[in-house]
Amino acid sequence: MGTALRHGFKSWAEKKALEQRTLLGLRPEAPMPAERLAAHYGISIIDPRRWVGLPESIADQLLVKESHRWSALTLFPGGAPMIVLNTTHSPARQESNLCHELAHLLCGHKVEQMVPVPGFPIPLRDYNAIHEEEAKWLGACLHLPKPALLWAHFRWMDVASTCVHFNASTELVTWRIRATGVARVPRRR
Amino acid sequence: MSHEVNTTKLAAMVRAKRGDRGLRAVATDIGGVSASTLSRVEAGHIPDLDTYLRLCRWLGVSPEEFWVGQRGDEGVLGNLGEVHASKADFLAAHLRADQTLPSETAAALGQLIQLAYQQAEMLKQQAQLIRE
Repeated sequence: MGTALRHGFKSWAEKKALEQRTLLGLRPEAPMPAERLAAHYGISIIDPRRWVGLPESIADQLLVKESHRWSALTLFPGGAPMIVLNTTHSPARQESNLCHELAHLLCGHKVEQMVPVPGFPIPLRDYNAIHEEEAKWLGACLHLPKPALLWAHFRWMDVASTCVHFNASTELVTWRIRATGVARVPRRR
Repeated sequence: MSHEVNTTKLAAMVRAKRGDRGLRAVATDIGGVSASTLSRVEAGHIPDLDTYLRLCRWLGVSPEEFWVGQRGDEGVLGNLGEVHASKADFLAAHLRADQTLPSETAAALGQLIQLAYQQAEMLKQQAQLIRE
């Protein structure tokens, strides 16, 4: 069973997602590339495959041998967030990962304590289960807000077409359709 | 400073305490840890923070039990000096990854984090020089 979200969070998340599109001058149903949102907030997205000077041993370990084990790393050099994104993943998964990381930042999640973590040179943020659940929910709203799903629904777009249009995975589209109840909204042929 | 973890010791203590009991039963006892994660820890993989703390609690030891020492002259803190040591957010990183990582992958991610901070610091210093 997932961690319960606080009362009102889901409505807040849907509204927050639409606010971001307004900030970028986009319509509520428009696809919103997460990179554009990141750029709006001055958040750099780093593609390790284009990182000049990245040692080959690191690139080989993280982008070839073990590329399936990590998705993204959010760092705060000088206080400004930077996201290192695993760009070997599919475009839809990258988009989802970026939305998730941006969601943490938009939620204003702060770590309560910094704890050294085995194997890492610096402490890692201890995002608790509630924060992860909030970021999962808001991240999904950022990627696929309800108006976007309704737009697709009224155009009789199937899941596959919706995935292509919004650069989203089948799992995400299916989950959001279920979570928002848009499939039950009547529509005309 | 960074902390190396003795994953061999951690794996051995977990295996010893588990004894003949099945992974699933022990994972249920520990809580919040899957049987497969437990198996990977016993194989020497580095657990994530949450799993590591749960295991320490179950083993009845403090998290420092498995730290083998501190490297003060390597890593971001050593390079950037004490002025940043108190700025916890500056040094924070959030990692979205598997619950357990092979040690080589954790090490590579750790090096990537260090490089990112070093580059950011260099750019900041260059920008300051340009302004002066």
